[in-house]
Amino acid sequence: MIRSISVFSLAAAVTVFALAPGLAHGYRRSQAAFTCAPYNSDDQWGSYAISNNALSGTKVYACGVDSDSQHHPNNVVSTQPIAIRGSAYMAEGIYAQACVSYSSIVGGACGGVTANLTVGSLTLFPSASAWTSASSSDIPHLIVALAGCRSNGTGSCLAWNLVRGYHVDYN
Amino acid sequence: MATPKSSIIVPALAGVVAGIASSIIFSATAGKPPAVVAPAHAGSAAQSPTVYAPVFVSPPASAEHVEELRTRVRELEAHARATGNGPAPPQDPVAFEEQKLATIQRHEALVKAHREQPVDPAWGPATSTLVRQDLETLAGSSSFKVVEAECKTTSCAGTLEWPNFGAAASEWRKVLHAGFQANCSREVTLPDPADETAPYRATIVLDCDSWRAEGH
Repeated sequence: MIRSISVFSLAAAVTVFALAPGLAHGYRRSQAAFTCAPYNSDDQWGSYAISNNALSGTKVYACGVDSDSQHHPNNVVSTQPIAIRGSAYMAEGIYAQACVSYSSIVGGACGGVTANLTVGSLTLFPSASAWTSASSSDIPHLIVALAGCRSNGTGSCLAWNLVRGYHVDYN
Repeated sequence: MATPKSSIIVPALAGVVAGIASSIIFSATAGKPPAVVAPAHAGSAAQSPTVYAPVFVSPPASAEHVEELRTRVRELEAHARATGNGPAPPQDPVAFEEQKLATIQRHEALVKAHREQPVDPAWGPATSTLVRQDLETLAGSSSFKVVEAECKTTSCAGTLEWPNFGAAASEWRKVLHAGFQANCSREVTLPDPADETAPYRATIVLDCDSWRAEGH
């Protein structure tokens, strides 16, 4: 009898534990606030890319990176975990950095700056060192700088540097 | 003596069924507001209108019982976290302060490791010159001045001074995102100041391990 009650209780406890909401599948996801950018402006997001449509002057963008207790970028693959897809009309038209900002204090960390050496469609692989040494409470993001567009000679743009998106590969 | 299999399977199945039923009941009631079953009067009817306050249906629990439940919940959460399926850590002020302290300590550990690193005469002084040049260039378009910039064997540190904390808080990102000739990882932390109007110093630490490994 005692054995039966013990088995019953154990099975009931295990089942409740496995199914109860809030215990089995709780997780936190952090998202940097600067992804709340204006929509449908080519400076921010147009033609399924961000591009610098100014004839002169580099523009800097901050791009949010999802992070939660299951997938924080401090646990990314060791080889080229970040891939930024874009297109450039000039060498060093796109710069990128992977950074974290601290959630509880002013400050942050960034990896070294990576720039494109080729033109046309390309992939940039910025260093993830600031991510891999981050704590799970740090907020990851990418910094992307786009040089100004090439003029067509009449005050308009002929070619752009642009970024379509980015992939992060987790372990 | 052999035990019949049914003596284990039957209660186990019953336990599973009971567990599922408990979970369903728990899910259905978890989000509901407490029931209001009786009005509570505040003062006499002549002095103030009747105030309806929520009264919980559940019988009052003893303090010991509540504490026992809290302990059990903590145990379950700890077990769930240990197995990778746990709930997120609580967002309470204590946890926030612990994160802040951990971030400051991590930065201080980086500074300490740099200070204790020996100087590689073939790399340190030359890289120090590059870092100082870049910081001075940044300082030219910022409100900080470069107090110190020194590289050792694989790391560098630059101490910068702003006229006040507000200036530091608005300009520290320029230092993180600058294109340094020594293209190293960089980190900076700005702890809360004792006096927000006083000159404020912060140390940026450059980890040049990878950059140096590339042959620089």
